[in-house]
Amino acid sequence: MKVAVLLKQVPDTQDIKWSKENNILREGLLSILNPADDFALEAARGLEAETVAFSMGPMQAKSVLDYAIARGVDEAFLLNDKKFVGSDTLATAHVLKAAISARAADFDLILCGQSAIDGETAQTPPSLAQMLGVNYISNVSRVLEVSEGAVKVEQKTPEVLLELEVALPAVISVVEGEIEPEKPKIGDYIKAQLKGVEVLKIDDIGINPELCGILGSPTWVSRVYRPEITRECKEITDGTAFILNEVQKQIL
Amino acid sequence: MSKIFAIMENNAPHSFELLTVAKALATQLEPRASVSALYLPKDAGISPKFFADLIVQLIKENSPEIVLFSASRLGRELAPRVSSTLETGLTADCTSLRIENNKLVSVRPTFGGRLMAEILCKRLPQMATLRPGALKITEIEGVVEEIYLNSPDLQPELKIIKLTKNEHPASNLSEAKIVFTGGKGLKTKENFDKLCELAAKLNVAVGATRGAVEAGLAPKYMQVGQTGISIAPEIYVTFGVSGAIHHMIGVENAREIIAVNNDPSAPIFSTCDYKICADAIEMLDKLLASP
Repeated sequence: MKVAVLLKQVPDTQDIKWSKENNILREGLLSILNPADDFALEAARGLEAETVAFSMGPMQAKSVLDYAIARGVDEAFLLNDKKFVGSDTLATAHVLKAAISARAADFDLILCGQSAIDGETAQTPPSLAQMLGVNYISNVSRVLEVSEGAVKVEQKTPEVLLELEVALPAVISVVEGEIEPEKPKIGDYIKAQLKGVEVLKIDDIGINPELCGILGSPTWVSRVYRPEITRECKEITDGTAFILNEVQKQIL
Repeated sequence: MSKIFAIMENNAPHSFELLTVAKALATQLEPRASVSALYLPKDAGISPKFFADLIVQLIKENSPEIVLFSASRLGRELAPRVSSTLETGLTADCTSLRIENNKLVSVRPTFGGRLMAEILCKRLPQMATLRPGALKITEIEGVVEEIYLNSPDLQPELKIIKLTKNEHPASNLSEAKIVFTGGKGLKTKENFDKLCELAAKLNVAVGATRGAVEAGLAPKYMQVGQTGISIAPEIYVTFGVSGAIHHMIGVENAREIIAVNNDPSAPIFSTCDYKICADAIEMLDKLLASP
């Protein structure tokens, strides 16, 4: 059985600082492994399978793949090419599809995080599933069982908890769990260093350049601004009476 | 005549929000577009690929300018399948949509609600998913063509083994007319429980901020805001909420916001309608003590 894990390095959105001109200060911005992806890695570790990790990004994203090797994945690929830069979710799915077809075409399961904390689109995994012609399940809180040709998972949404089964191959998006995954030990990192991350360029995955990067991205950001919400505010002195009265008025 | 497709999920309230937006966009297009409401059957979720392919086929036959889905769990699974098959763009979880230069402008929060981005699409159809609760349903005139999607021999792509409905104090959050929300300012879980007790007494729903959830005061499913759910209640009352922008985005469409906070310079006092500068915990005690 073969499992591919998709990882993304993201800026730590909790740690954003602003310039005087109202721009995000990217310099010195911490880059971390997208939190939900850590749980995808954890789910992969729980399976008796050969595991391959992929990440698309700049050279510094190699660090999330080093971490993945330290966490036990067998192979790790960084998809890095200047022609990939500026990819939207459609173009990203094309690059990932090409890389998986080139290096893990016999996959049974693809695990990834539900969404990335920077873009929060959750669109790349279902796009990838459609391109590969396989099943897709979102919001998975636990991978329960992988048997011959099928996977059982627990799906968690605010309304319901579902136990689902789908035929393999499949793409599964994993949500963040309650318990933080165990961190690798120093020995694990030494092993990771010996193994190393392989960098794949555009020619290594055989993708049409028109499908990736800015060229392959139909969407573009026309404007970015800081949200501003303002309401005219009146001060209330007797808060208790005011709240009770407003609630009463609405109920009646 | 140009067309807008709205993909409807049965009778879900968010589908009618979607239809409201679709009708409004149709009047902004030049020339005015017609709206088609494509109704998914109740069990569409067990055959997502089938319905995605069916929608693709209808788009190919009708060439709509714009195709809209709700950013519900199902919508967020189906829309990327459709857009990637058509090799077109899709903007996720939008909080507002408008037409500018006869093109769809999709507006969405990003970077955890710290930034707003306006996104355009170079190809057709232009597609977006719309965040449930981001808009109010209003009656906009105009006839809508209704198309019911189904198949006599539907093959389930996934099997439901077990289904458990979540019964918790926040399960009615998205439809509640009145919501009381607690922030990190409530300090302890005991104080947050007081808020829940008060809410039960007054028969209103309870929400929490991300800060309160991260501090362990409230469970994740109560979270309101950019990373939680968006709501548009008639009355929204906050206790010990500072008013971080990622929270306020989620209640932007509330009719009336009343904020209780003991810090007179708290940011929430510039984004609410009524300011009550008082200790939130003491206020909870007083409200609980009143008849």
